[in-house]
Amino acid sequence: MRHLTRRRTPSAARLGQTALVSGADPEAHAAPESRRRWWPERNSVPGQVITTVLAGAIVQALLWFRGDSAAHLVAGAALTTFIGVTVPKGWLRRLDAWAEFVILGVVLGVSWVSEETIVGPFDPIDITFTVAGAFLALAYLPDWIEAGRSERRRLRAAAVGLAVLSLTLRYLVGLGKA
Amino acid sequence: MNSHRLARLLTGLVGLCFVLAGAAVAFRWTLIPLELDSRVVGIGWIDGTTVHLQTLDLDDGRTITVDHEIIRRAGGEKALLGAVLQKHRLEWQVAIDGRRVPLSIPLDGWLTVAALSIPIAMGWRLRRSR
Repeated sequence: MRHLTRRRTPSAARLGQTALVSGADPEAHAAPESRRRWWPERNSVPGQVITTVLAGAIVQALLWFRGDSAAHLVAGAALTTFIGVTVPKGWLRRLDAWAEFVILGVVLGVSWVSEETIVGPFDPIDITFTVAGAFLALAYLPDWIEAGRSERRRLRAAAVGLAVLSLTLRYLVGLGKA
Repeated sequence: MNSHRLARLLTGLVGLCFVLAGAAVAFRWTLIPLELDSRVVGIGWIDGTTVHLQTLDLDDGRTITVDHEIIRRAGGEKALLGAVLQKHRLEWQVAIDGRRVPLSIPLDGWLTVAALSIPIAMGWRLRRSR
């Protein structure tokens, strides 16, 4: 016997009514038309990449005269994403709400050391932009913990792609070179 | 307050700290927070900033980053090279060989702070929308 329930389906909502539907009614589970969107879901892999690239593009537009700030932002997000989807999920679950601080601290340390050594001369502004990118990416940490194996693999690939984009912006495009 | 709310609050504070840190660094480019009594022995630039940011090598061994606007106001690199800079901390003017030049926060400084607040605001908004 099918279980009938009274629900507010999209078509009934348009008429200001509720409808009797069974659990198998496809309309009851289908996404309402108004919510169907052409852009990717915010927490999907493309959604995360687009968010990072969008933030980088805005920074680049504001600081049109220098290319390294946007590059550091994207690099920070890339490194954070890579760390977040590479460390075992159990560790992140154990750290619970404090996982963000631990990853933020790691990115700050890596950024500081790399700024002192390989990507110098030392500029504190570069470190702040790298950590700002990490802060942005860490908003997705709960999604990384819940992600399956294949999605984590795609996120790792996306992080590598963002790192390549950052290096390209910094060293090949050469915006702001005197 | 549970640990999630405390962590969220602290995360927001960390974001704010980084915007403030960026603002503090950008503020130093104006020379306003610095105390100076030194001769300029060299002028360079920060690579990758289209000469918007330049460096001053001082005879006391310091190399300070300054906004190009200051060098322009001082009369250009030629006028500044070899000149003695004197100012007190948080003074909004610098004496260049005794000539008073007013200091202000240039557009680049404001733009840097605005640019830094973009990813912080986006990150904060994403967390709030969960």
